[in-house]
Amino acid sequence: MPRILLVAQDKGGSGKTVLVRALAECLPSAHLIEIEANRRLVELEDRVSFFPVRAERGEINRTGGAAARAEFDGPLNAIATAQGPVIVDVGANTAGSLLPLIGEAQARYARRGVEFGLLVVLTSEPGALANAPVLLDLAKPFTAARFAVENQIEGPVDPKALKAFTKDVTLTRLEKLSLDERANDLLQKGGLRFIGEDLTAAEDSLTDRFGFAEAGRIVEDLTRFRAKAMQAAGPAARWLEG
Amino acid sequence: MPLDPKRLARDAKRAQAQRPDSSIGRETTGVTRAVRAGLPVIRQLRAAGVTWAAIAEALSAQGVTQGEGQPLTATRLTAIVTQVEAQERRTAEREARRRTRPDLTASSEIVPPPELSLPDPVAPAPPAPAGSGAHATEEEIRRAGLHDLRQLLKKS
Repeated sequence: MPRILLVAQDKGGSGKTVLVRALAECLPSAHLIEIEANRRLVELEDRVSFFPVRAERGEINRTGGAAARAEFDGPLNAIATAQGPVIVDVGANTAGSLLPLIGEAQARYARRGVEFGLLVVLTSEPGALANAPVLLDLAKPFTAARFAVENQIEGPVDPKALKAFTKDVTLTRLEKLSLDERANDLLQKGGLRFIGEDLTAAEDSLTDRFGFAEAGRIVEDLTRFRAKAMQAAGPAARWLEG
Repeated sequence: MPLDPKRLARDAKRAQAQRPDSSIGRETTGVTRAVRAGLPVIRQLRAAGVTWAAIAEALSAQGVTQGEGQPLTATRLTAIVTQVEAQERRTAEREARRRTRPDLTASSEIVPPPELSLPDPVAPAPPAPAGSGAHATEEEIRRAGLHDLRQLLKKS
């Protein structure tokens, strides 16, 4: 039975894509669907099927709204034909439209043996914090499991606020880590994949370029960050693995 | 190891003469060269809504193939276009940086793009020219960053 994990947060800059990358690290066999305005998970190459959103205004005008109704056909079709675990990166400002469509089609997906989970990333930023319970509620009727990751990049979230909407939700935390400036630059360029695959072997190159001490900080910071992100994604990854 | 300076100069000049007439570097395949030459037309076709797959098919019909005569795929074509555009952008950035350096004078090796004149020696440096004539997309910037990272991680 294919399991589909939707990773969502309609507020941008919450760290959603970091969690998607961490899930991809936890489950190297999982396929990914990226629903975004622009392709972001470039380092994951052919593991990712990319579907651009949203429909262009000109196209919507030309087709009398048909383009708007059909704008999610690509990812909805891809989900229907999934053969194994799939991580779906739902871009900002998209989940509020996509989740109801999946909910409407849930019975048809169930007949194909598809099972859904939801992972919401939230921060203390008011927009992200307010959106998290909305998405969790939207997904409740059609998901077998729901997860929330508190990304403390903007500071810890008020525990009372969290408690109010995380009943029946598996909650994990990604604590804020201070990264070496160059380590952060490399993280932005390469995501998490290179940290597990190439970083240790590249320590000599980094030492030649940045010196012994900074190369050590880069390797240490990036390795720690990847481990923490994978830890935060762990429960959802275990559910996805089945 | 003792170095023969005359031989070094001779070999370097010979190697330089054998390089293609391009500031970007050695072309690795004929496909890249063909795509580079056809890039303005490819951009026009994309702007007109022609798909990458259709463009790849049309290029294949003119003999631009990959591997052992296999038709060019849309994926391969977009990868090459992204690579060429990233190269153009980096070249433009490098040239712009050089023009801002007070310790360098214009030489025959650094030829400004034809639409630009040499900067006035006392005027502020002009902004970097857009290498491809179009702004880089987010995906192109990300791919260029990933390419830089991979270069950095290569064993020295």
